[in-house]
Amino acid sequence: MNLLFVVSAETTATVQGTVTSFTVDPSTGNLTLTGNSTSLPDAPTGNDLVLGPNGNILYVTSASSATIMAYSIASGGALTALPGSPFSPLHRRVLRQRQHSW
Amino acid sequence: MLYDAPDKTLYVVNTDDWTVATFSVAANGSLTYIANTITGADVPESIAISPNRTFLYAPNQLSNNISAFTITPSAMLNGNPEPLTPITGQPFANTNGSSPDSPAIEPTGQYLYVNNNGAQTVSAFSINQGGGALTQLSGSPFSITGGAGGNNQLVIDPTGSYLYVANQTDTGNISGFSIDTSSGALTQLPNSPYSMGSGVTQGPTQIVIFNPNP
Repeated sequence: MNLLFVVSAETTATVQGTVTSFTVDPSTGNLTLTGNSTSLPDAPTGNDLVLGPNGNILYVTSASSATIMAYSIASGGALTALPGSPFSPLHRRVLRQRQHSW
Repeated sequence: MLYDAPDKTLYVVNTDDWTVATFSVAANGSLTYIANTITGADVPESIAISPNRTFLYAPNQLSNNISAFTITPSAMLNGNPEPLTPITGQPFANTNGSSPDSPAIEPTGQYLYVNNNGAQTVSAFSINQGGGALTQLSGSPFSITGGAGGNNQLVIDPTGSYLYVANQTDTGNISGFSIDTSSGALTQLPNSPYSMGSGVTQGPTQIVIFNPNP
């Protein structure tokens, strides 16, 4: 079943952000909370949510801390932070190496 | 920002100067600037590319219309400095819309959808498969009924059957629609909107759908 991920965050960056996941019922389109929600390590502003090219990695950017969180996606929508996450642009070489090793 | 992987091209929207910048992406990830294309309209926010990677669309929040371009990757490979060509008639009016924000094209490439941030609606357009021109669908814009407000982004299910909108106001919620694949029309799902559940203290801003079995 497809999974829908949503990042919730304020523009004022005073409250910790959250990633919430839902399953998408293929016959009705109805969304059901998986029960797996993930607290982001900071209160991101200018955030974005991107799936990796091979699908199983979810990236969440934070403009306020200039970092990128990377999570592996388990069945059921649970997210597990990759070792070394969050990545900062200063460590982008590390990020690339890890992407290649998955 | 949008990466066209098969053509190894990165498109970046420059909201403040109303342009789309194009970069080619090398094997090591480094970028080479190609060109800035003027959208011809006011405050583009984000872009969508048709599944056949032929057409590019950029909704403009302030001028309430949609800039449209054909993509010419072969010209880019030849070093042509202008890979985006304006489509005749663009920018296309977003009639009865307001502050169009986030665009998405369903998987067959027939229809383009844009949420109207200034109204609780989603506009829908058919895409002329020959030239990329947009025609607003009958019944568009479609109302987001019962949403929390502040609709921020929309996403289309990989099957092309469903469309979801992130409503950001307060703790927010998600509105869901079915897509009529023959007409492109939207019908709100009976159980929509969907609550974000407990523990979420702020509204949803970004939304993606992951297919674990592609």
